[in-house]
Amino acid sequence: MTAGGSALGRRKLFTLAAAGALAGLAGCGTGSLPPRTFRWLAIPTESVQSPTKARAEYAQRVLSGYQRTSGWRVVPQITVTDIDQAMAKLLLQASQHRAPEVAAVDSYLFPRFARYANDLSKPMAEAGVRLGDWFPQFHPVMASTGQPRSLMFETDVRVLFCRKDLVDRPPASWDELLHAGRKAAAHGKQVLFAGARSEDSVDAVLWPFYWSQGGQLLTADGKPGFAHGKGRQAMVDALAFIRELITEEAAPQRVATIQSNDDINPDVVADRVSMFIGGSWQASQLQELVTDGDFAKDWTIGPIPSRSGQDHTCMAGGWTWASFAEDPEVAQESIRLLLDGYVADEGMARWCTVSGNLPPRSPVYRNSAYHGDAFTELYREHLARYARMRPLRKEYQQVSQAMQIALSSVTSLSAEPEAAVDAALAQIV
Amino acid sequence: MKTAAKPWIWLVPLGVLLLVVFGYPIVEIVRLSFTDSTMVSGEPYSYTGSAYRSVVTGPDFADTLRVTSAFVVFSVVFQLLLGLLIALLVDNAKRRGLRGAMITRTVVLTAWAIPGVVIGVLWQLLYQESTSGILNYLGSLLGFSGDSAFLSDPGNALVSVTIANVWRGTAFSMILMYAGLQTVQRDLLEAARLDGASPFQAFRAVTLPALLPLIAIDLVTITVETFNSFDMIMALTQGGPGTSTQVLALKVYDQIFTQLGLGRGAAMSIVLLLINAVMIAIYFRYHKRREVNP
Amino acid sequence: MTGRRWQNAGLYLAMVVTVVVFAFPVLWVLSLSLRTSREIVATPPPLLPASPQWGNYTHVLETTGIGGYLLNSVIVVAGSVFGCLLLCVPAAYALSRLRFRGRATFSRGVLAAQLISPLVLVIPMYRLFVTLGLLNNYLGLILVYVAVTAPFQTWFLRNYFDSIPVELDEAALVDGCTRGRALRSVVLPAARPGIASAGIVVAVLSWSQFVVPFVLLDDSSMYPISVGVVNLQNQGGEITTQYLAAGSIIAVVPVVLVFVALQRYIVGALTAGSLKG
Repeated sequence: MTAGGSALGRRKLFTLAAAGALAGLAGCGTGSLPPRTFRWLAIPTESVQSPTKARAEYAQRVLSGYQRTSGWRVVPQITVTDIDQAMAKLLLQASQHRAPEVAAVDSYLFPRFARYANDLSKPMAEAGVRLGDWFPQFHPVMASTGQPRSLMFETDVRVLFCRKDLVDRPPASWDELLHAGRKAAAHGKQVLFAGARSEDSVDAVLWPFYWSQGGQLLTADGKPGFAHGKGRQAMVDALAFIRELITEEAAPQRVATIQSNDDINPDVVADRVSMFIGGSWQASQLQELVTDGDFAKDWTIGPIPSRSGQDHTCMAGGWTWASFAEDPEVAQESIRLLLDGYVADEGMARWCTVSGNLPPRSPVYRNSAYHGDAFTELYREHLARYARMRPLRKEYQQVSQAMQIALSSVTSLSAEPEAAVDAALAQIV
Repeated sequence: MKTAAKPWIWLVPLGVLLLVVFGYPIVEIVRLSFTDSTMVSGEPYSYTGSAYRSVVTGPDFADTLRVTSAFVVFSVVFQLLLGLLIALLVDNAKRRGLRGAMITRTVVLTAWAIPGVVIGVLWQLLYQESTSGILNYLGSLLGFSGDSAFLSDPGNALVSVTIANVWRGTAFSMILMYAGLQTVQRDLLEAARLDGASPFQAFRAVTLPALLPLIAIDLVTITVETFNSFDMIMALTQGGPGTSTQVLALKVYDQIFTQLGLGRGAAMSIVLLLINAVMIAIYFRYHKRREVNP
Repeated sequence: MTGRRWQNAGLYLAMVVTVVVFAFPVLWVLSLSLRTSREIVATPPPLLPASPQWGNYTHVLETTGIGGYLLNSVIVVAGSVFGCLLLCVPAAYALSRLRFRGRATFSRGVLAAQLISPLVLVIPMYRLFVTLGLLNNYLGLILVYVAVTAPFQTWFLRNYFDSIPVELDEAALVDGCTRGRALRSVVLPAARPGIASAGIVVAVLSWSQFVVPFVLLDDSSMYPISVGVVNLQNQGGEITTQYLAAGSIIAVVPVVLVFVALQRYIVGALTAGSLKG
């Protein structure tokens, strides 16, 4: 090196600075948590960072109340908005023993997580919460391994929302839906539903249309229940009816771009909708959003129409809390945050009032802290009579993915129902 | 040219880093691609070649390849052409001292700096098919129907997605071409002009040859990049309607992050890698010819 | 010269068209970011909000931790640009100027790494990084970003060095410089436009990484802006498009500022280079 002394000095300084920066970076974030501290993972909309003020405040209140009384510290964490991504990541973390101590898990995926989650029988007993309080369809979700390993803290149903001035009474059968939809479409108001390639779409329309004809998504050995015979016909007919809604112009072709139930809200606010298939949580949001009118007064709800007008079904979703803490003391302490704030009677009553979701435990509906919206009575009836969970087997994801493609190729009018079902079946291994 | 005593000193840090970061994961992915394992690490799995079989013989593979190639070819061609044109434009404007050259360049670069998922969400807003959609509204002002099915029609959807991707990616080609233009020897251009060459002839005789190596690199990079890109499409159409915008990388993503099928996802990604490798191999052949016969 | 004036007018027109096409979506986002939720869904869409809702920005800044995400991005991007150039420039220079056995193999090996999409590799990488203690750690993230961006930059810079006359560094070597000094004092200044371009490319690619940071960071407060901003997407029934738009603008502003700053630098480098040429 022919560099002079000062240059060498500069080099040395520079190297030192770089080494220091690297050390600083390496130090960031790694290392274990301090004692009496745990991480709490929530989805963004239900976290302390929720864009909805009331939810953010609720989460913050639960958190600070808990920290004050317990003396433990909670580190709030959020997932990403895309649920699939969020859950895949959580699985990866859990499999390496790095999952947050308590975390939100999408109910229908929970059985995949059950092997990593702690048994919650003891803390539940201490909090006076019994598995029997939950509606029966949720028991397999929470206790797939025998013991309860997750706490379902909110649920929802999908229903048909109808404008009272455009539709006399909620149509019960497919024919009535088509008829009422065409009549309203003549006035420029359309039927909307999620019909894009997404989990929301199959949940909202395709599954109930198929289930209500007696179809099963998966057979006992995990094969698609619509591979042949009656099941296949039911699936083809469900898709054919959805196609008819569009070709008869009751619904616009752009339903093929509606990815989630929430995407319908802007159209409702803009007064372009006669009926829509949506989630129970949307009513409380729309109550706020619709300013020229009273959503609760102007709209009514009915079960998602079935082919016959009877035997209605709908999909119920929801979220659970699970404990992944490895230290027994942390496990016991951390789940208390959620038992108190979201699961026991009063906590669940308050949370479901704030979030607009439905309590999955029946005693909560009688709790004085629970205030539903104008439709809560009906939702509860739907939950008891029509609601079903998605199959809890791992084969479900593939079947759902294949049928999302089938549904969106039908709504975009690019495939005939028969061909769409065949293509889906060919894709499922 | 002197032969250096220790050329490897210059190269080892890079080589080591690449080995450390990519080495084990690649071996692991190749292994996993021959299994039916899932993201749930405790679930049992077995070794099988069925993933490859179902990927390659699956009825939708040809369809996916068709969609992917259309997306890649049109994205690449238009990004390259537009990038070159804008670079020439900016370069020319700057040499003439015109204002606005920097603004033009910055604006194009800005599009590229927005994360892919956000670009998908934003173009979804632009393409909205209800009457709140701005493109449809502007279209109706210009005398179009005002209810173009940008995303709900399978054919249109692929075009719409490609346009969004060209919008996003042109900046990369522009930067490369712009950097390349700075290596063009001005005296040669001047000489060509004095010889009475038209601007186009001068471009072909002087500028283009100087740009060729960069064009080749650019072509390879954006081809590979486009083959591997999925984030924008994921947000914009999720591959739909049907499979009309489902590119191979998006399928890989779906397989792993939605269906939690690690083994199948790995197999698909190896197929994707092989396709990329063929692209690069073609480039090498071209490159070798050029080095032998410059 | 009227011909020249016409040409200038043509150039201006072309620039205007380019700016309109490329700026429109971003300006539309800016306009969306200043609306009320009612204006978001209005028909026909108003081009501008009636009164700009700057409160959307305060809301996003206050409730979402986007400021922290921004800072995280800056740290990781700065580290990546620095690390990438530190490894690529010497490698590219060696590949361009030195002749040795294995040169072609090495450069092909490096380019082959460019083929790899981190999309799938992050899963085994997660397990690897747990073992190495690099998980949930900016250093680990930077190493991955450098590995992802370096192959192309090496290739690009090598070609760029190729286009710089060899006579430049040979003169320096004759004067008694070492290779390292020739690179630093002669070749690097001449290659500034290329290095600046490489820097921009690395910065942008690192800025918009999504899957890698999402998977390799356990602690969500360490997320970069590319991951953080997506969480403003409409969910839970509310119309939050204006917040997403505001978040996107916040995410883009720093990059634009860097572009503008670097543009000046590139301009300086160019004039310096052309004096020699």
